This record gives sequence, structure tokens and C-alpha cells, in this order.
Amino acid sequence: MNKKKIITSLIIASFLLIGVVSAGLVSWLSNTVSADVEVKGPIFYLDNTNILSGKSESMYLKLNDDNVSGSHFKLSEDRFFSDSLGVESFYPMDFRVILNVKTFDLPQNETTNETIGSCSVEAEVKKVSNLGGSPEKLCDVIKIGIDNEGGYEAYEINCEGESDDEIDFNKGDRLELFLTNYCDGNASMNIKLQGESYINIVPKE
Amino acid sequence: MKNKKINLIIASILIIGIVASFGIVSADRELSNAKGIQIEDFVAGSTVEANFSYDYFEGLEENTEDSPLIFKLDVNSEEKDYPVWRGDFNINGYIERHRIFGLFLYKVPFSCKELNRTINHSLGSETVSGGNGTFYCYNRSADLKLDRHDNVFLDIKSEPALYPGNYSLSAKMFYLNDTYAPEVEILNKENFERVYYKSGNNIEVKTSISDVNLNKEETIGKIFWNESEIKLAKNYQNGTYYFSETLPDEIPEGNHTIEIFAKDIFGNSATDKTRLLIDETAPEIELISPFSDDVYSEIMLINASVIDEKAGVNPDSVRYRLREMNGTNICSGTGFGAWDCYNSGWKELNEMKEGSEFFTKEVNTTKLNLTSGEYWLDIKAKDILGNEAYLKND
Repeated sequence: MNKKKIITSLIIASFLLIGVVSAGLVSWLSNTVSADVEVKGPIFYLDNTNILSGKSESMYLKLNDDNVSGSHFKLSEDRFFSDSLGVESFYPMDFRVILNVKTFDLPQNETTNETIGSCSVEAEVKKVSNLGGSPEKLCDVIKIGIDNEGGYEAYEINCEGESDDEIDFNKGDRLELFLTNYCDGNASMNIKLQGESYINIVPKE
Repeated sequence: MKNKKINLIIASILIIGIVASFGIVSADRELSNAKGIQIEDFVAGSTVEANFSYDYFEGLEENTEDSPLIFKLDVNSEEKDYPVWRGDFNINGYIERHRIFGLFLYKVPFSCKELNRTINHSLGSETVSGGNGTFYCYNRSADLKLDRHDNVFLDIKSEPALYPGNYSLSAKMFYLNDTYAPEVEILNKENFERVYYKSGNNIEVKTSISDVNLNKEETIGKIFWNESEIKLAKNYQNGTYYFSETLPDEIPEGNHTIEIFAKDIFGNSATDKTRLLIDETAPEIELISPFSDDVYSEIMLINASVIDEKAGVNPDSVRYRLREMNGTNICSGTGFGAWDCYNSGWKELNEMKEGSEFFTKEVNTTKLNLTSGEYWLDIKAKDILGNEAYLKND
């Protein structure tokens, strides 16, 4: 009987405690809505629209929009520019450069018909002024051994940022991606657009 | 068995209490019953939509006079080294409102500012502190006027340089405060600014007080003198407050203050004041003629100067009395009785001209059949408040 009384009292005390705590918290909890969200680094898609009127062969780095112009292009020395970013600084960053690539006419062993050459691509990311001048290198990397002739293949090139500190920007500054083709013999490289080639900015590790 | 019943009742009361505490509006005038926020992960530099809702009734009883509603949004970063700075986000939005059983939808747009700014609205102006991820959202009329089940949509645009990571977004909706003080105006100041009163007089202060959120309990009238005060009785009739009081005996002569104070439920207060002039001093009487020991055979001119600098002399109150003397005895009472002597009784002294300090009367001693002898002259006067003075004969 005593045990029953104790248990009943405990249950009542619990209700009382819950009541008091709830009364204090409810008004605070219920008049505020909240959510957690993950923000990822921006993505600049390669697009063959000529963006800088004064610069020939200046193509476009389209921010966060994979609906791009052009299907592919033959890589030689090609420059892509973003819009002015309108920011005052950027955190120290690395760049994931994703290129969807296909090679052509790689040298072959005349006897065995085996492919004996390959292509390389150098990717350099720069900060440039609104008009495309005053370049400041942010990262530079060369990817070697690209030798897929069968079809397009995505290559991920990690371009490690050169600055460990926050990078100052003027609001008119743009990003430039400068791609250079190094192929053996008469080989060449095509890069597929269609939202499958892009740069993704990630915080420097 | 009885114990079990009591326990059940107590538990039920507690549960009801908990449920009741989920009120629509909490005591601090913030709306509750919020639902949401729906938002998806996004890429820096893009625009993402978020939405949420509040279970809210327009014309809610607690929402006195439909106080304007605004949102407060807070965006915070989990990265200590990269907190949210002003300009990292740009937020605007709209409320989607349903009409005719949800058949028609229309949008009420609002803008969100990440700044310290003053919002002017129908009940006042309120300065809110925004910045570094804190936004205040409202529409042009500064009132979002949500209906029950209205959905709120936010367009959140981020900067490309926003640091990738986890962020929290919270939205709070609340009333804007009434910052306007009540309007208090004493309507009958002319009854006080140049008018004197004395203890025992009744005063009534007619006052207009307007404020949509007036706290009637905090509407008070007081008289202040030296370090004392007295609270006035309050009566409300046809849109006007009447504060009244019988002036107490202890109120001293002097210029005091009547203050009417009003406060609204937001704590804004206002006062209006007027003077209360107290005059407890009787007029000063100075005899011009006759001179003491003068002898008159027929016409005797009584002439007195009567002055009251504050409330002023009541001209109808200035009177004289002539009484026969016998040595040091003065005829008392009506003049009849043991000593059959002359007593004129109190008779009027006439104002020489309107507003003059001189009051006169020609007394024809022959007509009055005054016998030769000595007579005692009294003069008395009151001010308009009733403070009475007697001529002091030396």
C-alpha cells in the first residue's frame, strides 16, 4: 500500500514538473520556427557564351545554373569568366575542376595499334578585374594521362588554392578558368559542356 | 479508492494546464503555434525558397487594435570562424493568402532588412536592431495581417562567397509595440489658470484622454502641494474624464499643480497640468473716513478702501455697522433690551464705481434720529471665496 502511494505521488510529481517546465518553454518554442540547412560551395558551369565583349574567346562560367549554351568545344587555350561576384572577400578555397573529356587521334604503336600517348590539361583559376585584367592566380594544376577515346569521361582535378588566408575581392572581380591542352602528337581533346563540366569551390582543408 | 480519484483529478488539471498553455498569443505579445520551416540544402550564390506558417486569427482579441505584425529572421552559422555577416544573405518574401474557400490566391509581399531601422506604423514608430544575419520583415503598411493558415514564403538569396557549412534559420513573428503616448488635454484650464479656490471648494477637471491602448487603471488625476499630494476622484462620461475633489482643510495658500496622468498598456505615458490657486486670505480693509473723534452734525461720509489681491473682493459683502457707545460699552445685539441703544445692523457700503477699491455711504444722522454721543463703526468684507475680514479699529 505504501509502495503504491509512493509510485502515485511520483507520477503526480512528474506531471507537475512537466507542467511547470512546459508552461515556461511552450510560449518560447511555439512562436519561433527554425530549420537547419547545409550550404554547399558555389558551382560554376562551363558555357560557350562569349561573356567579355572586349576579349575574344572568353567563354562563360555560369553560376549555379547547369542550363548552359553549347554542347562541347575543342580545347586549346580557353578562358572562361564568371560574372562579377559582388563580394568583398572569399574564404581560403580549393577548386574541384570537373571536366568531361574525350580525346582524339592519340598516337598509336604502328605494330600493335596500342595507344601510346595521352593528353594533359592544365587548369588555372584566377581572380581578375571586371574587364578581365589584373589576374591573380588562385590555383594551378595539371592533370595528365587523359587517354579516353571511346567516349566522354569525367575527370576530377583538385586544384589546391595557393592562399591560406582570406582573399580580398573587389565587388566587380570575376573568376577566370584558364584551360590549356597538352597532347602528344596530333591528338586533341574535346570538353563536353551541357552542365557536365564545372568548377566547384570548396573551403580549403 | 478516494485517493486514486483525487490523483486523477489533479493529473487532469495539470494536463489541461499544459494544453491551455499552447495559447495562440503568449504573454509577451509574440504569436505562437508556428509550423515549419521547410527549406532544402542549397548552394552558395543561389536563391532558395523557405516557407512556414502561423496558426493565427486576424482580429484576434489579444491583438489590441490590430497592432502591426512583423517577422524577425535570424540566420546563424555553425562555423565559429565564419559567422554570418551583413550582406551574406538577401531575403524577401510574401504571404500567400486564400480567398473564397481557397479558390483564389493572392500574395502580400514584404521586404526584409538587415539594418537598424525605425519602422513607422499606425500605432507609433519602433526601432529594430538588425544586422549580421538578423532581418526584420514587413510590408509597406508595416503590417503583415496574417490570416489563419496563411503560408509565409521566403526567397533567400546567398552570396557566392558564403562559407559552405551548416546554418540555422529561425523566424519569429510578433506585434510591433505602440510607442505613441496617450494624448492628454485638460479641457477647462480657464477654470484654474486665473481662478482662485479655497479649502472646502469642489473642483472638477474636465480632461480628454485618447489612446487606442489606454490602460484605464493608470489614468490618474492628482493635486500636488509642497511634498503632499491628493488623488482626485475619476468619472468617465461620453468620452470625457472628469476628475473631481473637495479641497481638503490642510491645503495651504499658494500656487499648486493639478496633474492628469495617463499610461497605455505599452507603458507610454503622458501628462497635462494646470495650476491650482489657493487663496485663504481675507481682504484688507482701511478706513478713509470718518476719522476717529470727528464730530458730525448731519451728514457723515463713510469711506473705506477694501482690497483683496488674489480672489478679489465680493462687492456685495462690504458692509458697515454703527453702534451707540456709553463710555467703554458698545451697544450689542439689536440695541433693545436692558440698554435701549442704537444699532444700525449690517448695512451695505456701495462701491464708488465698478472695480474700485473704495466703498462709501453717506449717513444722515438727523434722519436716523441719532442722539448726541459716541458711536462705534464696524466694517466687514469678504472676498469672492468667502474669506472674511473685519476693520480693526485702533
